[in-house]
Amino acid sequence: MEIGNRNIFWEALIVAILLFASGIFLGYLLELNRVDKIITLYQDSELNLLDIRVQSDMLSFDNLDCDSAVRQLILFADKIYEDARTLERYEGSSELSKGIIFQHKRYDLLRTILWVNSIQLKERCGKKFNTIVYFYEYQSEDVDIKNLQSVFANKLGEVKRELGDKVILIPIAGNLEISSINYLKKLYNISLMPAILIDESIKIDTNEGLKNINSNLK
Amino acid sequence: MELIAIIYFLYMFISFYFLVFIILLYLKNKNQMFDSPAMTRNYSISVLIPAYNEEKTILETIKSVYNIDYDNITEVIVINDGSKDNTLEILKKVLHDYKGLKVLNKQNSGKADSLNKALKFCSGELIVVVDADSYPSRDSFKKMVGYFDDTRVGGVTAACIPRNRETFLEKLQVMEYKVIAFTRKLLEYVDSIYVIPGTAGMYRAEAIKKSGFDLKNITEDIEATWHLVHDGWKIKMSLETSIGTEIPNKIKPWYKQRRRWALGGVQCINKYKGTFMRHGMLGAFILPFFVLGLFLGLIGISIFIYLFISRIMSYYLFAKYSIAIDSPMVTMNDLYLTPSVLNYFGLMMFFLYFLFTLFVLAMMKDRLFEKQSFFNLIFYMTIYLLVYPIVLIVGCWHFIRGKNIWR
Repeated sequence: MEIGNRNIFWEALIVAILLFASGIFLGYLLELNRVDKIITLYQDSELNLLDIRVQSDMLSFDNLDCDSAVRQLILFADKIYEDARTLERYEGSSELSKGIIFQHKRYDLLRTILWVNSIQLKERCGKKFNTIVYFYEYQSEDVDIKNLQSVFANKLGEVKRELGDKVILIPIAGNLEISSINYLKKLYNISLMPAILIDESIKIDTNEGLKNINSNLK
Repeated sequence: MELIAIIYFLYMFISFYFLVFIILLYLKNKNQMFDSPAMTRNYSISVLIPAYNEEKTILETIKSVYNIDYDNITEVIVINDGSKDNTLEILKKVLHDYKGLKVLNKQNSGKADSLNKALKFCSGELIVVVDADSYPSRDSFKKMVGYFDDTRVGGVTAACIPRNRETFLEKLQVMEYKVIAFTRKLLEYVDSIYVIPGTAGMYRAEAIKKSGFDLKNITEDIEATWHLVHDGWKIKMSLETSIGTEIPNKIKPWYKQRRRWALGGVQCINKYKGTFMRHGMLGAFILPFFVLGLFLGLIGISIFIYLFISRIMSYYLFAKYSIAIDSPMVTMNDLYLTPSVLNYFGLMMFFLYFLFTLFVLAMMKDRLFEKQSFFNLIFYMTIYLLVYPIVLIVGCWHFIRGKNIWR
């Protein structure tokens, strides 16, 4: 072997490691960028939530404008539903960083606060909309559950498109060991996932039940 | 990170390493790629042509050998390996038409045994083995003999050119032969040529008579090359020399040929496994290269099958549940594509190998082969190469079952 070719194995290894590591680093940056986008979305939502909470606090005021409060709540619910879909897409393609799970937990708490707020608003202003809370397993390994959840998500998306402002849709991961969510699950007897809770009274946790979901929405 | 992602990254890295390795080899040696050392000695050459049922091609092969511009071919020995067709009759007819043509007729016992028997009779300083369906170019011997001035060289190979290039399958193989020839030449610079193909190879008589051809290996050419490297001989390649050969034009013979190559490779790994990190480049590169190739092929196909089956299962369940409740199976949300880092790595690797193949085709175009269509190239890169690991698995399976398939 010529002298010039003797070290080529090591040279190739060094070049390959450098370029490959650069690729991994770029990939990591890409995922961090996605996490940053989620953080920005979350911060916007957090502001909106503060606004909603102030409105909740004002529920005791006699001159509360129920229509405005409901409109605000529905707009906010729609926004964080869209955020949830973005988050889901990013999560599905996240390989290197786990920062996105933390964001997911924060969003779940935000959505739980929204749900509690919607219950309070309905008590104060009467039932002007349907609340659909969708409990699902976060990053389920079970193929059956994963696909059932995809069907649930599709069906709920269809319901939302059909009924628009008459429905607020709140997806919540039920297996992230967040105590307030666990409490609510226990309160409404949610043991299997995926499950849907309509207006805190009707529970659907089978595919057959999902077929007739529209009949439970008034 | 999931286990499958780690395996995927490891797979990508090893593939990437080999690509970088080949590119660096090219960059360091690009000026000598198509050069062969000048002929300084008129070595005597014996040509051996093993033949089994070659009535259609044997005459043309003999003609092309006698047409070679080299004046010290001492003998041409055709070994009829118990052909069931008219090969022997054709040979008898032309026996006296060519000076120095000898026919060795024997019971069918395989190519390796045919060559070993002929090796006992031949007298040339160099021995050329030519398949009975191959056609060395006129200047081939003159371009190859110069390498033997280096007394450490035990064998020299050349670029094989498919002669039949009409059908789609043939055109795909033309591309494959180009890439193989180009990379094999590059491996010469690290003394790691792993095969002198049976199509046409030139051996130093002293070297090949000692090692012979292994009767138990169904790719006797690969085994013989490993044996030579094991014994300390160097193998060289003349990229500017072309040897025409007939290639399979139908799927079945193509598949049988590849299965034979795969099985022969596994047999060689098994035979020489004890040489790992010993016996020069055989243990340091050729053996690990083959093992890694086998490993990567098996891992790659396993990942592919796993992902394919789980995706099919997933689609089935999703469709079943969706149909049951009249829910849409495709929504606008499905149109959003969010590629993962793994997707980007896969795409990048494909793109790099694609560029490399394009480059090789461009390098070889004017010298050996004609232009290829873009569709053929894409098909070659995506479908054709994907079949390799499957053939490899079949080869391993036959090895485990102790099946030796020659024809």
